Amino acid sequence: MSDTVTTGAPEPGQASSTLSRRRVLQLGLAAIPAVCGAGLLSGALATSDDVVRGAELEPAGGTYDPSAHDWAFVMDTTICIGCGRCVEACKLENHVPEDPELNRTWVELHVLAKDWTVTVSSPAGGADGTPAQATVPAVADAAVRNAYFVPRTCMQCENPPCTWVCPVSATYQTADGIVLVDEKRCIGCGYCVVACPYGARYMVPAGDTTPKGVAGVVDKCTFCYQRITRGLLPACAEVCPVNARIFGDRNDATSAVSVAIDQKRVRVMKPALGTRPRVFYTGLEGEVD
Amino acid sequence: MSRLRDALGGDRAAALRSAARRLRPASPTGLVKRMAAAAALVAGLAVALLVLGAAFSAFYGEYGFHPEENARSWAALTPSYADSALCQRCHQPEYAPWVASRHRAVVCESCHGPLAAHAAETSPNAPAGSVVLAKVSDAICVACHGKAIGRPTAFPQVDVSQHYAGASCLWCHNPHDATAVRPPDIPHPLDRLPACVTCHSPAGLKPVPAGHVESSDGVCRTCHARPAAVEVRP
Amino acid sequence: MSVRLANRELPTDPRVIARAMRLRVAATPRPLRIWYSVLLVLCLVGAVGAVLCLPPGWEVLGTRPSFEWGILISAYVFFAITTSGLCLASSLGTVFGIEMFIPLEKRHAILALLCLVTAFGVIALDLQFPVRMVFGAVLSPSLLSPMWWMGVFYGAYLVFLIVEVLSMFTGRWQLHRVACVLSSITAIVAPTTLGAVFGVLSSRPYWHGAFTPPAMVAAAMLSGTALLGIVFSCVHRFRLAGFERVATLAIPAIRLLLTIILAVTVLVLGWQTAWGLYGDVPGLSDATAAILVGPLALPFWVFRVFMGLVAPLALLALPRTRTPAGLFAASCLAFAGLFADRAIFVSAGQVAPATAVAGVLPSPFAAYVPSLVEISVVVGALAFLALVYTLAELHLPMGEHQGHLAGAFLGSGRLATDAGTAPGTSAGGEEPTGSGRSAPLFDGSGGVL
Repeated sequence: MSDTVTTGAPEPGQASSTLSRRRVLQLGLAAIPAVCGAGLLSGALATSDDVVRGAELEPAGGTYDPSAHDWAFVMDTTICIGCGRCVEACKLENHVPEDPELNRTWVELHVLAKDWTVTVSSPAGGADGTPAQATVPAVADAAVRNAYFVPRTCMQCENPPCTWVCPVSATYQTADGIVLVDEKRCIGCGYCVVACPYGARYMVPAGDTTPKGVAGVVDKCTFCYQRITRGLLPACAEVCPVNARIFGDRNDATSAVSVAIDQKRVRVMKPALGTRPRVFYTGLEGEVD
Repeated sequence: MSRLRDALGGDRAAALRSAARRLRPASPTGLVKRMAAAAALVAGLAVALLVLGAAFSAFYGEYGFHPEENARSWAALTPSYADSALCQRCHQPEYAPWVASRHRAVVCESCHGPLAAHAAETSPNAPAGSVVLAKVSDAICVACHGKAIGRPTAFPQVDVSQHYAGASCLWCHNPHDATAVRPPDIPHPLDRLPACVTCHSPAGLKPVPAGHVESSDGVCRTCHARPAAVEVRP
Repeated sequence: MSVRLANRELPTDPRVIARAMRLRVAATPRPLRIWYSVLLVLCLVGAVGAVLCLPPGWEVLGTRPSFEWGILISAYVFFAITTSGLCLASSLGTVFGIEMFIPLEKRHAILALLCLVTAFGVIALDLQFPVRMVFGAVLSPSLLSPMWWMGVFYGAYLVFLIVEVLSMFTGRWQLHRVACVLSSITAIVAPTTLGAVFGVLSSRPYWHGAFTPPAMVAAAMLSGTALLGIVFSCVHRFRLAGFERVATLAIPAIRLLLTIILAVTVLVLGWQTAWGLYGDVPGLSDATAAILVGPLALPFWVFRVFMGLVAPLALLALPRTRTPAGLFAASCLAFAGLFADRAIFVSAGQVAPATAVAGVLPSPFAAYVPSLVEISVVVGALAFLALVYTLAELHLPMGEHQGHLAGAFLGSGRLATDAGTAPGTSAGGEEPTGSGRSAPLFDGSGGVL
């Protein structure tokens, strides 16, 4: 093997070979303008992409001012029939993975027996409704003191534990109270999934994607942000056949949710944790924290 | 380097001078070469910093802290469910009885699924039946109206196994006009009788009511085998 | 034909290299060859698992939203607290100058660095987008997030450890002392932030509380001391560098520390368990029941209590087993028991569901089975640590250094012998690398090359 490559200090007296250090330096100097030109061009393209994208981001129907709204839900568990239309509608509207164990919203069945035992179940998140023949196993009708359905969703807390545990601030809260996930910053550590006291979050599996087209990040109920900013109801509230999910703007005293909060006796879940949820419940019994 | 360190204990000035003397080039051309090399290095560093800055700003645009922009991107997603008032524009025959019926709280999309795309792509002059929607199955009726624990007792629900099992809900019920249509009472029991169709053929004793399924006895008995006194709660 | 590196000629001809390697392998004694082969195979298994973990998406893991943190997180916690504990144990020698602990210095620093690198490797495989974390933690941190602080402190700890190791091997004793003090401080703060990651979550009653950070420090001391016990028993057994003083100083020191910290751990664990049984606090009592009689009962009673606490304490206390071999056994058992302990800790906070998660309400307990990929990554991480440390032990000068002669340490009057270049040749117990060993890259006297 001839010495076409020299490393370290060259031997004294050795003639310069085909690829000497000087040659490498000259080639490198020539390459720098090419590299920086490509870099600047790509930077410029990225910026122009942003400009185009920004123009398309405005929702149809004009500008939307987040700070003017304060979205909230009232779930009336005395009316909910557990049909599961809401769960199915959410999956179709928000491209939630078809896996029955991954739901942005779900319906629980609470059965309180006469001996004060409580059974809570949520088969497939309640998406198939409650089959007519199904009752809670081994609980006869006569032994049931009370039973009701509880629709569950992200509480969009006013003091959300998920936002302050995120190490890279990928989860944030908008001015109108919705907690969203920046799918470009989420690192998939799962801290927010563990931190949520209401179990509202899940990590998107690799086979499926969020509507943004990303796997491996965290997803959660967004109160159908793409709908409420256009003046529509969230999909679950839209399709509820009995109007058990009352949605509206608390800033508007005449909205359905403000009226419901005033007229019904509402409370939140797990008030002792200090999360101050935006989803209120009426008709719950004491077994629900 | 070691020579420098040795010199640190000794005459520092002399050591620095001897080191500087070694670094100084021996000839003018050598000096020019070194100056050119130094200038190229400085220029290269400046350009490299510029490139890094451009890349960083593009990168920061992607990964930096822009919650408002991300919120706007969430708001820009396309809804799949439309406003149910849209359905009225083309489907007035179904809409009119529905909005007056007891199903008026059940919006169209609750049973018919997301229809924003359908509403957007159907032109007002499209012939009826040109857009195929999946027919809603009976299971969707049972999902709400099947008797189940936890449903409010005031809510209309039936035990499906006791309520004309095997029959389709749509044979008797019109979901767009949610009043139950009950089959007419027949004053004779059906046990040990000749086949229904002996008497009830279109030319026989009693005309078969309009809309009645005409086939073998088995189909008749799915509705008519049970006493008509099964109450459906209002 | 050859390359000059550090004043030595190294061949570049592949045939010459191959022949040299063959000679070298032939000269390695058989037990060591078996050790290396086993570790290499396990590392390879771990590498395969690591490659499978790389694409975003968690199907290869056994985790579900109701049980999001699995064995990879437990392994990360384990390695992270081990590296802190190593520093805590040996800071008694480096910072406080207690003579008993002085022989631990070099080995603890290398071990701590390797453990921390392993910990970062394991957590990078659990994260879906590890590169984003590096940038996100700098560009958009959340100062309220304990996980961010944990990253900051363990990152700083890594920097201080690197400086400590490099300054130790290049003889910059002033810098080494400063790095030792800084890394000792960080070694105490960092596991508290790791405990705070779990302790601030009010949604998980088993983890929640101000006690979790100090308990993590106690666990750190235990695992660090146990690992030192394993290593130094081997140093004594195989007569590696500096083994003479190891027998008289390091081994008794480690035995003392291990006994104390085992006793403390028994008390901590006992009260933690009793705490969970008082009242019927939802979430906490269910988790404690899961540990004592539920799905975690077998790992808890067999691996954590018996193997991890009772057996080591017995081995250390009984006069018959107060030997270096007994210390080795006790340390191994305590080390393995602590791995089980961290796995139980991470699982217990999630096993008793306080609410449905994403629509799933596991009843009565949430189930989690580690997938093969996760197990292979953990096994590969342990094998990687053992392999690299063995290489470091046999090819770097590991005897005591003269750093404490630079002053400000108690009892520094005795001149420390550095056995890096001539390990025990006079005693006849050769280093088990045979005659084919090349000279170490670093000058054993600790001077600059």
